[in-house]
Amino acid sequence: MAVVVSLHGAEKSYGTTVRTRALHPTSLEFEGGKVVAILGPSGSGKTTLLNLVGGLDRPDGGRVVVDNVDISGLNDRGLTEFRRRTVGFVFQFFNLVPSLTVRENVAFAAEIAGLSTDVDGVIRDVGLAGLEDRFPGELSGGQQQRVAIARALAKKPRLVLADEPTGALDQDTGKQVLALLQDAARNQGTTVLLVTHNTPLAAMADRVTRLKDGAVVKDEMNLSPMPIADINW
Amino acid sequence: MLRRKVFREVLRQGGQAIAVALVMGLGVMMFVASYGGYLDLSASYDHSMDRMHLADWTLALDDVTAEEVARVARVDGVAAADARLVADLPVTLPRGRLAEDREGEVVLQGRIISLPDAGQPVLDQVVLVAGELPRTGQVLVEKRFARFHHLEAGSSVEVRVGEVKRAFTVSGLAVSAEYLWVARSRQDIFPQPTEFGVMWLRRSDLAGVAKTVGAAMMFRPPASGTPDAAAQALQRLVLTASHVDHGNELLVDVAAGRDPRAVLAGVRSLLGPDRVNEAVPRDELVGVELLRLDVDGFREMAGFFPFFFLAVGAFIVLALLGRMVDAQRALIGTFRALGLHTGAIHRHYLGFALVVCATGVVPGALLGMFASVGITRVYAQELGLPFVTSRLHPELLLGGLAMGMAVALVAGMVPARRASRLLPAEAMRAAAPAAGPMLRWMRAGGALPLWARMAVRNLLRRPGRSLSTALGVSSALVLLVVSGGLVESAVAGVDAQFSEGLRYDMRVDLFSAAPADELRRRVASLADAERAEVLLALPVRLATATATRDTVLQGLGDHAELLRAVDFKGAPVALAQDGLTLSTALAQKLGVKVGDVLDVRLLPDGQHQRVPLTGMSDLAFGSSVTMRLADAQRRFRMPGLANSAVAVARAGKRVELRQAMQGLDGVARVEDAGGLRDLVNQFMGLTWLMLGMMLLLSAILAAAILYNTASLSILERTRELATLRALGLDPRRVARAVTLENAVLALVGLVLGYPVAHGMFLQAMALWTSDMFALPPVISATTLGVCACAILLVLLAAQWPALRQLSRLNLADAVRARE
Repeated sequence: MAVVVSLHGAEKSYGTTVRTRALHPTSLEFEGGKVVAILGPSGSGKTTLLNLVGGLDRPDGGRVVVDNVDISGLNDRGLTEFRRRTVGFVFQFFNLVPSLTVRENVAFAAEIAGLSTDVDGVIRDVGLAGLEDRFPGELSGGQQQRVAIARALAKKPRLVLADEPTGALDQDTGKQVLALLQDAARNQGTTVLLVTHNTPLAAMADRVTRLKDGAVVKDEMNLSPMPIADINW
Repeated sequence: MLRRKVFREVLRQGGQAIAVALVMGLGVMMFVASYGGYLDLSASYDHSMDRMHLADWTLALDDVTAEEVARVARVDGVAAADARLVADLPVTLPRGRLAEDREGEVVLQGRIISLPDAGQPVLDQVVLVAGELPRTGQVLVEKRFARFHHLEAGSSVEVRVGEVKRAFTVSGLAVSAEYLWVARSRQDIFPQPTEFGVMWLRRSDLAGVAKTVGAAMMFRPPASGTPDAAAQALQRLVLTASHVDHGNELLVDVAAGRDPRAVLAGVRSLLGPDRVNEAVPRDELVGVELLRLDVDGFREMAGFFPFFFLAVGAFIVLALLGRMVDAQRALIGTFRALGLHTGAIHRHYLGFALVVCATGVVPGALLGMFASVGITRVYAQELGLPFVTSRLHPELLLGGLAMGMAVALVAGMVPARRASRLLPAEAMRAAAPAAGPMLRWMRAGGALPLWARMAVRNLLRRPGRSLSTALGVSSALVLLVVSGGLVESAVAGVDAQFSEGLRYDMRVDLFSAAPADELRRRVASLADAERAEVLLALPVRLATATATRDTVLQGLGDHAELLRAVDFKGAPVALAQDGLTLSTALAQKLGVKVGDVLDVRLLPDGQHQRVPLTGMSDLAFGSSVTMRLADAQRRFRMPGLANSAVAVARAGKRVELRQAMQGLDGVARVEDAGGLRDLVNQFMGLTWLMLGMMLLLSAILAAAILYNTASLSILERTRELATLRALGLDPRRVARAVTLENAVLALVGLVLGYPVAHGMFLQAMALWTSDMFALPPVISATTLGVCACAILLVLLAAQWPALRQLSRLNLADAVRARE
């Protein structure tokens, strides 16, 4: 598989008077169609890494290349275009548009990307058939996160970035959500970067990158990823 | 610790907190400044009237003797009594201001009031501004009139009728409480200094003038052959003046604590029946009433606008704090979970409201207190009050502070109470989504593009928030429409009166009536007159069962175009057959409506007529009574006569026409309509200033409301909007969705606000209406359109900082935040 994401000495610091280094110069490459688990304790830099790859933030130094595009040099307009076409986000707290129904939330993402996706098909795939006309406020947390995944997948993105997608869910619901992400990688060739502090989840990933204090401490392939149904945490 | 949070929240709210403080501060400042100004001006006016011994009653009689005055002074309840002579006579200023501008002398009407031959009168004293009291052969001149004509001690003034002249030297300049506002009559409240002035002569000198005038009149009988009202009045004056100790006005001061009306009854009883032609209480003297109306304007301003500002302030405190409580539900839940008492949470959020408001209220009250002193001084100078009493009003400062903080307390109470009543578990969940019919409506709008659907549904998702935004827009509309409408009404009132009602350039009034056709020919044949019309102007007393009013009835030709009765839109009002048309405000004062019959008594000879009220006209300044010329001539037995003419000057020939009119035989006065309009504008100067200030403050307030409304509606949805941006939605489309949402709310706010704005505007207009000032309640579609467009534009501009803040937001942080 071709490399979809590559970081070349990308680094990031925060603060003006007191600078805190969130990510030391980091170089990594992630292949397409894989589930990559980015693990680490709070403050280890995993979300910073995700933000740089997703074009939500710019590196202070180094380069971030996604799908052969160096996004570290893009302006706001370029980054918006990049996020629109290349990346699907799944947030910890779902971040659905409360005034749009399930179908509309998903269709909206496809519309932004300029695609004519089979929206009902995507919703069916995430197991929400029959709930298309519900508003987010009428759904449970797990259902909302499935809508978020449908929204991310409706864009047919090269890359899905999921930041603690199970953080607000119970274990069973979390498993269903992660299974959807794993299926997306397997069936659609989407690269899934899964940020979590939940170490057992590493077993489901094709690759595990561990961070600590803003630096990669371990980056290894998992040659026999487990089905999520077999993992407990 | 919570106190620290309050202060940090205030700092964090930044612009919104400043807007609340600004509105509250302005409200309190306006209250303290305008009410303090009113108290000081009112006190200064009362003090001035007391120091000048302005009589409680001014009684007009044909003749009152010194012996009668002495007897009146002994009537139970009378503190003092005095008599004086008052005469309206032609005056010539050979070296006046106008004489410097062009050749020739100025003839105008002088209200000449007698002073004792030695010293000040007992009542209605004058205050010398320059020079001294007049000696024999000297005249004391009213300050503004003197300044207009550049008269000073030593200047020359001539009193004349026809060819008879008596020259006087100016002894000094003075003011009197009765003429601090110089009005000739209730119908002529803006006489120009070019046509009317007040002056004082020693009684012996005035008697001498009257005798001269009387002698002149005997040799020059009225052109009609029948003595008219003015001629009769002069003859009476001559008779009265011929007796050394007689007067034609009796001044009565009522002892403290006594009922003035009862005392007047005693005086009337002593003088005998039908002796008193008119009894005017101090507060109804035209100049006193007008000045009082002006001063009362401050009280009305203090009672209307500040409370309106504070109400709006309360509303935005409610909105700001309400949204803050919504945004901090999880935090409130955490506080409760940590064991914080409901009272502490209540106090915490209430404290926020109090701190934000206090930052505006405290400086506002202080500024208002000092501003009231400045306002009093400037305004007292403008009004010409000779004795000014101004002081700092700590009681108003405290009152303003208490009022402002009470408003903050009441406004903050609602959301603070809501915060304290949240159960911990409920607080930590997101706010309940819309339900019931609201949910059904939310599913509508399928034909709209998704971004537009999202914007429209957002309005229904949180109806409370949407309503508060719409009400913010409504408040802004109310403010702009009320103040804009007041400005427009004032402009429309002046325009209707001077562009449509008074369409002449010059008006000439004669001492005696003349054949109407001949008078019209005389005026029309003047070289510089393009067109002329005649009318009959008769001083009358209108009476109903409960009220009387002295005024001038004007008989207008059937096809009169130069002087006509008009409505507030300037459209002419047709005069009905044999009936009166009254200005609306005068009709209200008399308590009559169309169809009622009024008693009309010709002054001063007492000829009575019962005339039905057949129509209403509108007049911004003064009051008017009109009827058809033929009916007036018939009813008052002056067939074919007229005593006044109006004319239009040829282009660029106004001055020449004025001079030519002054040269006509038997001229009492010439009025320049252009100069009258200028004078009205000059007198309206402070009103324009006040209206302008109101408009400016309203615009600031409206902008503050709209800024809060727009920025809060964006900032409280930061995560939602940031998510859209993270999904790749162009910032311009995000802005478009927000703009659409705000625009829809603005339209709802405008629709909701219009009836309230209209009602408040009518209320504000009612505060300004009297029988001498009656501005038309005019709000044109243009004004409404301008107000609505201004609101939409300000709203769009107001959301710009928040949208900019959104575009600069760290998306990574924003999308991770929890709502």
